[in-house]
Amino acid sequence: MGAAILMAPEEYMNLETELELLAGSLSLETKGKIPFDASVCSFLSDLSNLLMRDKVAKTLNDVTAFAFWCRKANIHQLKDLHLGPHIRIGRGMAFHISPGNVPINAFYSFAFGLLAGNGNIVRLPSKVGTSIDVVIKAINLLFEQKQYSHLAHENAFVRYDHKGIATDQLSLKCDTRIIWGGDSTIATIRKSPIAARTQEITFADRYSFAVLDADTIEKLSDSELNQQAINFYNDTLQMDQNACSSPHLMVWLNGNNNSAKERFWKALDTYTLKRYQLEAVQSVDRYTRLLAGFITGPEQHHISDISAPLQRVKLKTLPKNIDSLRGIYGLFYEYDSITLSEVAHIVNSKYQTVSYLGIDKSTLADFVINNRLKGIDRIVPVGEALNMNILWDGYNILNELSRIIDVR
Amino acid sequence: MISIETLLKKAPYSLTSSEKAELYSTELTRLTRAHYNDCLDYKTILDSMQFDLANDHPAEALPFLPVRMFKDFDLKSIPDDAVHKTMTSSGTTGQSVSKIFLDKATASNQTKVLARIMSDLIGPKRLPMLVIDAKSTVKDRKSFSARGAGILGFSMFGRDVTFALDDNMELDIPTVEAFCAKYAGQDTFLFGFTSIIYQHFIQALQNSKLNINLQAATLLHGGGWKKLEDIAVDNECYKAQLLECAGIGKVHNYYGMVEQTGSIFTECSAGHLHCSIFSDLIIRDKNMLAAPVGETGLVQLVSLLPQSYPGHSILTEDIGVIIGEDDCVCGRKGKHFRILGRAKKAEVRGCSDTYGS
Repeated sequence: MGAAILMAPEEYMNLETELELLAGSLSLETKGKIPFDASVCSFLSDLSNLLMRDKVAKTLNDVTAFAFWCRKANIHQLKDLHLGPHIRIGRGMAFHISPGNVPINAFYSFAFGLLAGNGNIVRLPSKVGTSIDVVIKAINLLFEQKQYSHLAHENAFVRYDHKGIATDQLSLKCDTRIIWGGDSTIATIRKSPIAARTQEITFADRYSFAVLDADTIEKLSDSELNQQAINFYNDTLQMDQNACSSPHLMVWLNGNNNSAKERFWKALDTYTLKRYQLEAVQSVDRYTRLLAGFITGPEQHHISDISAPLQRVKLKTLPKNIDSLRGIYGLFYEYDSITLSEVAHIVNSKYQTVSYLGIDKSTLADFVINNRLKGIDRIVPVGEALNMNILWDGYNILNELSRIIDVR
Repeated sequence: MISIETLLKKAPYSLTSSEKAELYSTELTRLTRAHYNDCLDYKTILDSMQFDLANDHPAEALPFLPVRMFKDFDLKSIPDDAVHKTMTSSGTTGQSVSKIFLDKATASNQTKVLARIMSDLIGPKRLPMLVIDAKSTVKDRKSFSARGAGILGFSMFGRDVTFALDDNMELDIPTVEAFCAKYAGQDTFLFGFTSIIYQHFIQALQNSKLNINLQAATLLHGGGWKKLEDIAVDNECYKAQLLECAGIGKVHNYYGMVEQTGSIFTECSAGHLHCSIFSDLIIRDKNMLAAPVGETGLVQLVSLLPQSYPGHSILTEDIGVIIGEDDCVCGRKGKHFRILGRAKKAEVRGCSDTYGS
């Protein structure tokens, strides 16, 4: 009867054997603490320093951006910006299901959890990736330091087969569950119940578009234009246009200014040829997407030759369901618009980011408010579409991950 | 316009490259126009591309559809009541399958063309046939899985069609032994799917102490090397094992897919796959440009047969290379080529659903 003496319930034992622990330790009963706790802030700033010095990390755009984001100065700024007037405390244990394909978001999610005052269990995708490895290595180095041993105790990075009981167990135990979607991932995870008081944040499939003013592009100097092309590239092709916040549609204002549009495309073409590698299978995917889009979408005009590095498709009309049409691997959908109000009818709750070039941001904010749009919760300049932040998908993630102590 | 009937009278590997280029420009452009007129989705695609239908184009300049389009859309150029049979590709559970709609004329042409290609390989007479598969694979004649359709299609070139595997996919030793005894020393025709032959015939023979001799047999197999690649069995090794365990020296691979049934590509004695006069192959680089001889790229297949669905020019996800044209040591005219396998899946970036990953 030896086994019966063990304190841990059977499920817990199963859980431990099912998980592969990559960093930290599994603590299901973590208690919350105040947001922006000094040790948490210094941990993130040390992490930033480690990554900034790491030779491999330097070669990875996503890790570099994350390291830059969690630098000391930025963390302090975030504290001032996002901590409201209320007294707050972390909810306890945050369970993060990180996205398979934007690996770095696992660490943003973790950092948000930490800053809000939580212990965290982060499920990493099973696919091994350099970005994840590099950051995990740095986190492990810090966890070994005595000053961060309490964090090593309260935080864990794990991998496990999604078919097992781990999601069930962690969901039942957590105080906040954060699911980085897709819709079908969210639906799958939701089959595992959470406790009544547990908060859930889901990042569902979203759709984003860019608003670009052709007349503004005409006036840009060559170097300004090239910089904007790089910015746009970073918003789109850097992630194969798969990110939710990547513009899936380009709305041109003054779109009849064809020479300006051509100028922009030429600059993007040049940069893409230098930076982008298209594999054969991606090329087939892109071509299939293009042809399928002709059938399922509105009337279109394929502007580019099929062998061009960038595939431009001009939409002749903008139907309500245009969010089902998404470019990939250099396939771009464009629409010429006279005024912004022409596109109001397409915006639904799926719409996340508008990236803009040559249009005043307050005009865009007014566009959302005056049209009482159900979607669009980010308005950012071209080049910042993928920049992860505490304000995301219309949430203040710090607020969601902590609770208010209302003192009167 | 040259009819399939006319071509059927020609030897199946008899057109030189220039003759073929001219014929294919005319005929494939004609098919492109026909499907444009009769298949609305196809018309939408060509209209969106502003494709010029007024002039004839060389085969490589004509539009082509990725095979996945036949999975995602019901593409047909005939009214519903003219559908004679619907072929589906094999797909593992949960995967979508291609649906290929055949009218009587297209189905009949496929059969005739296959017969021409087969007679080149095994002679004009029907041979005693051993199918390396289970009879249950072809039982349900209503649902033509690629495997079932393949077996049924090729069974026309055999007589006394015998199945070498029982319904549990185990080697039916008494049946195989009886077949070998009955046709000892005679030409026979063996057919099956590459991986099934390996797993259920070669390996079963190796594991048994059975000694069978099919020295005079011609074995034709197709369906892809994916499963065998995983266990590092290549064509040479495959042939060597068939020779060793069953004495089969004439082993021919074929390449073809349900999207273009009939116009299959068979392997010659030199080990090269050949285009017959009924179909052709174009290699495209990853920018979709037609690639020259010797360059590796995506395989595009064109065929003169598809009249009932716009599948006369399709882009596969296979990678291949053209070895030469009109110059194979076996003497056949036309392109000869090698298939190198599936295009490798690339790592996807972005925040799509990957919980299962």
